[in-house]
Amino acid sequence: MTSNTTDTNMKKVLNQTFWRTFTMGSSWEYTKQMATGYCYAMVPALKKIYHNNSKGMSQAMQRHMEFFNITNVFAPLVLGTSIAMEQKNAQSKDFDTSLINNIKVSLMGPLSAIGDSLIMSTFRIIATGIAISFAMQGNVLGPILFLAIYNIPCTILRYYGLKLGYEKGTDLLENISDSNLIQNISEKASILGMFVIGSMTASLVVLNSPVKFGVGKSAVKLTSIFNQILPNSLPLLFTIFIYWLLKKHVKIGYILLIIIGFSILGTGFKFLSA
Amino acid sequence: MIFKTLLIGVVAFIGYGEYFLTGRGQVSRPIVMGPLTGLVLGDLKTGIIIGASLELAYIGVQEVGASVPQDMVSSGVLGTVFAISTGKGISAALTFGLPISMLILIVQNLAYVFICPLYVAKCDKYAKNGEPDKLSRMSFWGGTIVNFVPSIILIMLAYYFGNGFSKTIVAMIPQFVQDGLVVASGLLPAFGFAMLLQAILRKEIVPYFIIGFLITSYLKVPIIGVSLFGLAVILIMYYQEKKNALNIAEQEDDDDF
Repeated sequence: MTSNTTDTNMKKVLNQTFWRTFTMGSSWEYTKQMATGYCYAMVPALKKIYHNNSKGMSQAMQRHMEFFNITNVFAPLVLGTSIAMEQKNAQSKDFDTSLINNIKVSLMGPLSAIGDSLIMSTFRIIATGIAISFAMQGNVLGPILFLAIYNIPCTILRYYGLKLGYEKGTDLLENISDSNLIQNISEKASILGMFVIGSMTASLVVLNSPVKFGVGKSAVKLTSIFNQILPNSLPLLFTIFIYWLLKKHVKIGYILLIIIGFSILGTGFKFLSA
Repeated sequence: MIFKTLLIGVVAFIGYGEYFLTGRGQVSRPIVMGPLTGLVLGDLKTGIIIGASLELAYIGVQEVGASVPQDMVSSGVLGTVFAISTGKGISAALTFGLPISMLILIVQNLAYVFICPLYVAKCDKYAKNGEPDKLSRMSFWGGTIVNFVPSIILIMLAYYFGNGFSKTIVAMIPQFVQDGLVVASGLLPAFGFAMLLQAILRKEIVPYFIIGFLITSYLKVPIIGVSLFGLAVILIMYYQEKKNALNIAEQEDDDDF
């Protein structure tokens, strides 16, 4: 598909679409997932494109009521391509409309894969990691930093995603659906995530034992023995233990109960302390 | 009390705005809900701290695709309410916040399963008739009211009735159990991190976890420093791979001669 240049009329429509991508999640549900929201976000563009063509309007709306789901941040990119293609469809008689939904479906998987691993996991964790040290001290900068670090890049991604999707149309898609690129991005994101989780395990998991060996002055605390071998080794061992439980498919609710039960019993029998 | 209950409703509204106002802007996370709830109850600082502790416990809880593992808004709001009103911190947040938020998740799922298909059917009809404005209204308001208003009302009710009630219960809990819950608050982040690891861990990337852990353990580098370090490392990898790819391409060119 050839590139589109954005005329002023469409610019207004794209702006309206941009704002609708923030509210399109309201109607998410299990059967068609994001379909209703997608159609809702398409409304400003469809009204412009099919404003005196009720048959075209009805067909286009039904097209976008088909099942769809994607990480929200990437929805604008896909919307951009749909808008560009709907415009083409209205202009030419022999446009193959099945292409519109095929493109949507082909983008759904790869973009959600990047979205869930890069944005929703890694990026959120980094934002949390930076904000948490302020928040733990009761500093209001904590929550503010968290929201800013997460949302400023995401909003930029939304805005330019929509523009890019609209202007570049399907050209871009070939690049994006390149599975090597997707895998590379996910891989790098997970590496960055591992650094941060490692650091957080060391600084934020707290496990102490008041148990002492020996008597009087020569008594040595169990915790300090472990710390001499490797600082924070007890928190690390505990995290590995929970990971192992998750690997064994122990239910999340049971794991929470195990943690709380272990803490209470441990405190009761005086081998754990805050 | 009624005024504060309304304000709690507003906080919950903002929290569920995660879906219908902010396009997944992470406002529903406890690190945001805690401070807002604290503000309503007149103790911003405690709200921030409780929010941070809850955030760590729930850091691994994330919606992947279609699964909704836990209702973050009610866990954050009610957890903070009970933490502040009982003066017992995160232990109260977990003891009282968890069961109620599980109940709310059930209500939400019931709405999802039984009521949502109704407004979707309406939207399908509007699409067939080519009525974009009606679809817009039904999608936004139908979705918002069905999916989130019941939860907001439940949170307000839990706040209104649970508040005084929780204090009496906490007074009955023996001291070692309360201390144990404080210990648990130090261990719950391990649960969060283990869940994250489960989502992304592969054998090849374990070394990066070890590096992150060792840097912070031995050198006390804060999380920001470690993430910047990590960023530098993946940039090095990226350029190295690019160079390697170029070399391979050049070698292939050489073969042509």
